[in-house]
Amino acid sequence: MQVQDVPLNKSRRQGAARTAEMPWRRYAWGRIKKSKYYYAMFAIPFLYFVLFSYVPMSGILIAFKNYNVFDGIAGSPWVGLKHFRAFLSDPYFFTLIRNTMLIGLYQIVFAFPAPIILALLLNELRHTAFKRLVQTVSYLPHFLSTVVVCGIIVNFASYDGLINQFLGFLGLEPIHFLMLPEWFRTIYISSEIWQGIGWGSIIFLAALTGIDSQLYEAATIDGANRWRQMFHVTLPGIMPTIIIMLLFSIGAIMAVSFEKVLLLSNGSNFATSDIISTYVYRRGLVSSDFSYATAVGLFNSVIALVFLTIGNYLSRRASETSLW
Amino acid sequence: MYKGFGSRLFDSINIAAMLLLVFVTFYPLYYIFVVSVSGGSAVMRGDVSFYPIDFNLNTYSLVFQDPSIWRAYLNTIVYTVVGTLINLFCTALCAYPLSKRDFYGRGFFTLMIVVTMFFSGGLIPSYLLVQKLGMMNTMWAIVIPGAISVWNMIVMRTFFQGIPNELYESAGMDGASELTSLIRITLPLSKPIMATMAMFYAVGHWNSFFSAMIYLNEKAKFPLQIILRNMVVMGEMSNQSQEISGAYAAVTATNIKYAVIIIAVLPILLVYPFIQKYFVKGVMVGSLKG
Amino acid sequence: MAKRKGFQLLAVSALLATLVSACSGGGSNGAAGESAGASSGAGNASTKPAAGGTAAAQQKVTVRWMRGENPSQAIKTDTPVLREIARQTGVTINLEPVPGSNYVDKKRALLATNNIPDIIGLESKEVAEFAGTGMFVPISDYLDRMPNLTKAIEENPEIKKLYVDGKLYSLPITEQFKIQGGKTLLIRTDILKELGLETPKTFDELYTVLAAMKKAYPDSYPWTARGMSFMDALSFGMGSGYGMTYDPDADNYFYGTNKPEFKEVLTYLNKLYSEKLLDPDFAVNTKQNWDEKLSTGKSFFYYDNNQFAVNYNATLQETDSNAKFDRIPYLRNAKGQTRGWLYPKGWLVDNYAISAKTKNPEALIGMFDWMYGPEGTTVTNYGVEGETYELVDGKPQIKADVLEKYKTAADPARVMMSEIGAGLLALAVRVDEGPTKQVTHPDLVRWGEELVADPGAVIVPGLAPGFTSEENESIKEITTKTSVLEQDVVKFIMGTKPLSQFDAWAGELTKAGADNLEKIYNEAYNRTK
Repeated sequence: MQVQDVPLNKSRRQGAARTAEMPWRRYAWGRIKKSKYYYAMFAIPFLYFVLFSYVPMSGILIAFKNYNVFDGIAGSPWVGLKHFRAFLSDPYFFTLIRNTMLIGLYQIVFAFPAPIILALLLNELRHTAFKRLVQTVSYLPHFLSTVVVCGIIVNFASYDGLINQFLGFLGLEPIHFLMLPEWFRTIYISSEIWQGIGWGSIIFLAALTGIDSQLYEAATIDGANRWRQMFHVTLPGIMPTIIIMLLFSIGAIMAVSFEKVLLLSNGSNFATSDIISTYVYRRGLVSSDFSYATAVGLFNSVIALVFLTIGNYLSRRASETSLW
Repeated sequence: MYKGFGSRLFDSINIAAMLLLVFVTFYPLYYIFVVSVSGGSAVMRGDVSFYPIDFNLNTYSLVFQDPSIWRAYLNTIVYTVVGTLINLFCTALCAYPLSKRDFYGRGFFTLMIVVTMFFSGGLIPSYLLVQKLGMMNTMWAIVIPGAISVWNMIVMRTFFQGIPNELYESAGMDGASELTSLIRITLPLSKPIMATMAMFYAVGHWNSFFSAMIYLNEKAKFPLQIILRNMVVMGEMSNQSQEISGAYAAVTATNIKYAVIIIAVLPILLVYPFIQKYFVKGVMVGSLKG
Repeated sequence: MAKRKGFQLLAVSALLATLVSACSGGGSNGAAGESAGASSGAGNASTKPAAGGTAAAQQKVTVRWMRGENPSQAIKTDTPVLREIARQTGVTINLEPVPGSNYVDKKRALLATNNIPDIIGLESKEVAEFAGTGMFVPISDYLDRMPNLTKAIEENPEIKKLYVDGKLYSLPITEQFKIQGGKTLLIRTDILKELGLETPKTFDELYTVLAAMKKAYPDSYPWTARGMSFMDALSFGMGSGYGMTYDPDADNYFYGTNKPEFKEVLTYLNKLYSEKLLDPDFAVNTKQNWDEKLSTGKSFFYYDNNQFAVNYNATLQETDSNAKFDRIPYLRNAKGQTRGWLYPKGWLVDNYAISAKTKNPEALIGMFDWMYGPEGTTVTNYGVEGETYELVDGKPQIKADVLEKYKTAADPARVMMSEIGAGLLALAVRVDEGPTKQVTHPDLVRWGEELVADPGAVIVPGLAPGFTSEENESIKEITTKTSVLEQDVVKFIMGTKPLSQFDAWAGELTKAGADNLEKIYNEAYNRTK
């Protein structure tokens, strides 16, 4: 496959630039006319997003209302920023934000690079059958539901579990992994890596197929060793994909798996395991909390979008790859 | 071929690391399989670890006793196939124009789409919308509202962007024949990404249960995951108020639960090698480098 | 080239058209489905003038009935019970089971969008929350036509807690006969005998017994638990309470966790924990871990649902025929009280509500009252006379040939009930566990009888008092704060938070509004008295 990333700035400017004397409207119209087939194609996706994303977005309004079923979304009374104020003024707020964002951050730092490394290592395997095997097996954990994964974690990390048996074998004291707040994030992130590494590498492997093999040949002729090839051919080849994936994980900084946290948290590790979504869940147990939950969700989205926008801006400046 | 000592050392370490990874990721599913074919009391005692004890297939015959499982299998296959086709069609149609730099309004539209990743109106308006469209209790409620995953679409777009413009130009096509260039140039060059997307979408459909549960009313239309999830999850995340009444104390035995997991996972695992050949082929092209 | 361009446009628009038609195809399907449902309803309504015949014909209705499905008893949509209900009451039920694991989400979607089917299974708090919207038929308005439900309410006054602003909006699941269960003390009696230990009668004696077990089996953790599920029963038994607790002596509610008595509970558990008499993993055990420890002789004692012990005995006895978990009487606490923890009367948390939009509420009211009555109770629990049950000395019993048929199933009772479509996990609103009694393990039946006869037997209330929405708001605000503090209970037990800090911690709970919580509970409770 000869697909190779072209220096983006070259083609980026390709669309005829507007000259000073050309009126803006004529310029725009010209470009719209040139793009008419794109528009025709884009019509279905556009309609789709309007209908299934933008129309239901009216539901966000209930964050500013006291939603009740009888009056519906439109008729429920406005309460302004009441729910936001309630959330933000909660003395517990900063603990929740810290716990949520630290998990998100560790996810980016530790869980994000893992599949890339795996993809690169797989790429270096020369035995095809073995490569296939590793690839196939490594993505199996992706198919286990959270409940099952948490059951496995408890089995391994409990006081009598395999890990502590191993520590005992080394002559070390057992550690109460599941009960100690300082271990919670480690357990969470490791299990995320374990569950996602194989599946996550698929996308990078697909990107690897796009690298022109001639580039490797040229590099070999130039006398580049494997390391140099990896860093100067392979890595740049999949860089656009890496950056897009990184931006996505930055956008997902607030999206921590609620189910997993709920199953792994207990009174003892509460100091680090209580996150925004488990907090909202506990409130909802008393009585449903549509408006409050929506307000908190909206708050999360705004924060995530701010992070994503900054990330997108930086990456556009630095690498010419960006989401928009 | 690489001959240096460093290179060989790297190979050895790499292979060792990969073997470790294979063990760590393979064992849990293997364990689940072994438990699913072991006797109930051996499982309860925690005796089973590497090979089945009191081997039997009762758990499977028990699960399949329920005729609704077969029906659910069929439903899942239909939803997965139809859903994935719709996904691929719509996603490609969205990603292709957005990958083109001469598409006027590209930035705006991309932003408009990315925003939907973050702001959604939640369950209530979506439910009302599906109801208004008359899709309630039909397959369309499951496959249409999720027709395009923004994440997948952007990935596809990024891949399309990697296709050099010269290719389109050398094919002698001007900007007008976009559909032809999509079909003749972009798609054939994008087999790996299309295979990946097909797999992502298909696995998503295969594993999904939420929209089916919300939008379908008849048991005969339920996909497999709904029925199986009930067996696996119930009791683990049980509602305390139900437990209080003592009525819900009975939970599915572990070996049956695990049989259910195998039943749910196996078909999709069997499909993977067929899709995998696209990556491996691609990687082989890369590995000609030696 | 121009021709080609035309073709391109055509192709694109054709694709578009395909998709649109796909959508509308779905639309028409859905509409057809809906109108079919509607027409069947309307058809039944119109039978009134058209048939103009007997009362029975007028009563004929078809309704949608949704409820959560427990995986242990699959819900079948064509069962003897459903046929019999249709025959006797004229109501044809289209059952819509929803997997129990996500039933909460489904209910939420339907309630929040005002889309509930004719009959829907709800929890009491959901009924209370949405009753004000006018979504449900007010059952209490029809009570004069429901002698059997009236009788059920008189039998179990706790049902009055279900009233919302003076009205009853739901049909609770009551009991006619129940194999009593509870959170109780199950101990390996064979180990007691082996070590020459007396059956413990007080909590101190329990400690001594567990310590002796640990001494004889140093690798064991004599007492194991699955999370905090034992705390309410144990605290209550020790003369305290875990969270909001009903005090049967004072006939009111109290918040146990910040009271001095609770410190004694924590001190006791902390002692057990530090001497490894209590499983170090008690707070994180999954059900599976827990099962494993009790079925392998790793643990010898638990204070929880007695039902589980039957399975442990079966597993244990495969390798050691003497091994046996048996129930021991509830213990005497330091105050000299004995307080057991028996599961409540009926299943009042589980209710059915009738949609206010239903075409013929009277027919459904009639059907439900029949189901609360003797005939309906027999049908919904035993099935059809001659087909699935017979009368022996005037009492219904599942027929021997039916029992025989399910004997080989993994869980005979549940499979049988699933096929018949009977019992608590199907449609019964007045539950008779007679059929279960016929097939279940004799230990369970015996324990049930012993539990009821235990001098310390206290049947705990199944329901919290009915709150107003303002009260609910206050409760939410308070519990949001207290639930965070309550997490420290585990730390006290483990000793990671020293017990010397208990008083300060209890003070924080009080400051967070624990007293206020008591006030709200008792005010609400007094309204129902």
